[in-house]
Amino acid sequence: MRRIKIALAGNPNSGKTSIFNNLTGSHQRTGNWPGVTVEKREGYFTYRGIKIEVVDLPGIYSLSAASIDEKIARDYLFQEKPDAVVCIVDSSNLERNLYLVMELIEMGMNVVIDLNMADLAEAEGLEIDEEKLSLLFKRPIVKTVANKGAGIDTMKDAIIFAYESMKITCECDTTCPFYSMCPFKKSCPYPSSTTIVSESPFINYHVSAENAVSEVSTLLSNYHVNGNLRWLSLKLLEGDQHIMHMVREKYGIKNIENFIQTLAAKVEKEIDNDIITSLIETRYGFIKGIVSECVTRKRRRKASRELSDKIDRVVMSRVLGIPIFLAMMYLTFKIVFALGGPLSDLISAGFDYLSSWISNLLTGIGASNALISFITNGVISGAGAVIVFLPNILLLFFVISILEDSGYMTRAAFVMDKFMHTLGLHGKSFIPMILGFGCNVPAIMATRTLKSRKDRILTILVIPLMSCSARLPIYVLFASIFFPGHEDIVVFSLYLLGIVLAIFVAKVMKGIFFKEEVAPLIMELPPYRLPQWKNSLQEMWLRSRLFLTKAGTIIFGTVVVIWILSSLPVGVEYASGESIIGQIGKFIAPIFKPAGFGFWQAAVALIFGILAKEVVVGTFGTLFGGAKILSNVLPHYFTPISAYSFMVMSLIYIPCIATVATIKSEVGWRWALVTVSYSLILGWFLSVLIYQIGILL
Amino acid sequence: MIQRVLAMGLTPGSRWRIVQNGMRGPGVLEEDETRLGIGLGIAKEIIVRIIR
Repeated sequence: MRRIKIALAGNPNSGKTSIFNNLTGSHQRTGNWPGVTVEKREGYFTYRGIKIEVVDLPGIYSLSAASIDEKIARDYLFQEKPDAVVCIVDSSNLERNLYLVMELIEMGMNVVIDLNMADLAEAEGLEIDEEKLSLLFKRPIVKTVANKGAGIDTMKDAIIFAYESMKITCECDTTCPFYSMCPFKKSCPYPSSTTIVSESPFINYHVSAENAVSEVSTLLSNYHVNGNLRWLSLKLLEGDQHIMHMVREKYGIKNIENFIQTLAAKVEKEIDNDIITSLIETRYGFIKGIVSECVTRKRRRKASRELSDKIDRVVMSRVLGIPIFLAMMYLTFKIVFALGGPLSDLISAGFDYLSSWISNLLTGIGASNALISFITNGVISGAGAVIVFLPNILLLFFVISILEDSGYMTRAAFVMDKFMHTLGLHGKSFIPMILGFGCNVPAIMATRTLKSRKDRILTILVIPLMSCSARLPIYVLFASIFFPGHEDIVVFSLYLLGIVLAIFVAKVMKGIFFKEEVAPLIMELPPYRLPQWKNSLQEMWLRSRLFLTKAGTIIFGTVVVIWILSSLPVGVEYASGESIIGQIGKFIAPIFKPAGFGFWQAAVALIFGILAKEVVVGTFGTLFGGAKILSNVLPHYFTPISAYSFMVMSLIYIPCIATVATIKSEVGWRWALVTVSYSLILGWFLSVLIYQIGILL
Repeated sequence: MIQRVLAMGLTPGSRWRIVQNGMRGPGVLEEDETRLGIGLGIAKEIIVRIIR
């Protein structure tokens, strides 16, 4: 079977994901683009006996590499050279979307233009003459309504046409299988029975700019630079540092920077404008010309736009913007944890039942205690620790997908941008941070909505400081024993402390790792749309599957290692003071003496707390002879000050293993280790500080 | 950053309408079918370009 490779490109909110889902169905896989944390989606479909592999490029506005998404898309197109690129265009907003089409064509890509959301454009009174548009762009054009699956087969034909048009013999009549999407039809400029060669519409830039392009092209040609020299020259004149670096390092053009600067200065003097503005302005001029020829507006404005305006006036208003955003976050939080919580409990109970059933079964057939412990405490607990998060993660991604599809997510980022900017974070970072109060794992997964790697890493670093629901049992236990009547204030102070520390840590981390300025916000605010259930469900499953496969393996492995440490040496009671983990507890306990809890049981509880924070309470229960007597026993070990200091340590020190594993799978070991290290140091330092100040007062 | 501003259509001579400046800094601009949310940093950038 023949194989071809295509890429899907398009502006954010142009319906690219819907097209990808429609084309590939269930044949999808997700991962990361090499070396970065931006999500990569691939899939395939078979059509007319050809296996077509599809790569979904990140949503971009241009190929100027101003953002990591643009760089990824451009590098992929430049290096991988797909057989065709389908550029998804929002038909109701042609000019902005055709800019990317123009850039792709200039790059020399074999482009199929997809006028998506054709129904919306029609409803807004826009009449698009696609035949004329196709002729002017010299590219096949299809119309689709992705959320209804309309026009997908035509698109498949167009993809094959774009691929085959490099070599098919043109018949120029209706018997041609590709006649319907052929941009030339009867006006084909090629004589019958010749091979079609895709041509690009040629933008004539200012004569000075054109001369500069020729000069740069000649220089590149002299150094045998591969690729579309005109496009490379244009990008160099636009001051593209990535291309500059590439031609300097790969082709040894050492003086390229000076050459371009001199040339650009000469052009700018001649045209009395800066060269970047001039080039982009010319492209827009070209597009405006095409649009004015091919698009007729029948009515001024459609009711849906006016409805969006009305919603925006409330949702983004000075007074109501932030309260509405917080209410939306609360609702998300409620759905994810109020609905997901009972389901998680159900799964947890299922694993407990399975564990005891298998334990009885193995005991019945005379299996050794070590094997029974390994299967129940190691294997089943390990699998349970992963799967128990699944309901929350499924619900989270479902809700996020709905918020994204509806158009609210961009408004949320806009509303929170000013506040988050002061912390050195992006407006969208607030959403994962809030979700962190429920569970850090889905919160870290939710940072996938952030496009900038720096924003994503910074947000991930501070999420573990949000008091997740697993820490609540620790707070409740200690607050009720040591601060009776003031439990609410104590617990609230810990939540607040987490937020204050997150702000502090974000500032410090930004100063250490990400010194450059936060990218200023500029984003398109699409009209509100009804979300597509099918899309949201598909999104939910794809992202959750990634969690299960990646984080699952790490969590499972670590749980088994901890089981081994808790069970050795042979014959010792599981997780007792004589086990290796108990010995480690005794070894490290003195470290916590300045914090007021320098006894081995607290150290062991904290070690086990790395598995899951709620295990801290369970471990105390096991070590002190049962959860019911903790209220009598703990006051012999803790004072109110050391109890508060212990709660602070529980809040800050190493996040649970599921969180660490998720950080590793999302942004790599380096950042997982940074999180573990800073949280441990910060936790110890603060708990010591609180205890030492407390005993002085 | 200027490439991003221009690629979004904020080119010299294009006619944009200020729809909203409700968030004390970020504002919303509109041209035909495009509505852009712009942050304070971008607003400063645009003003600088106009002055030049």
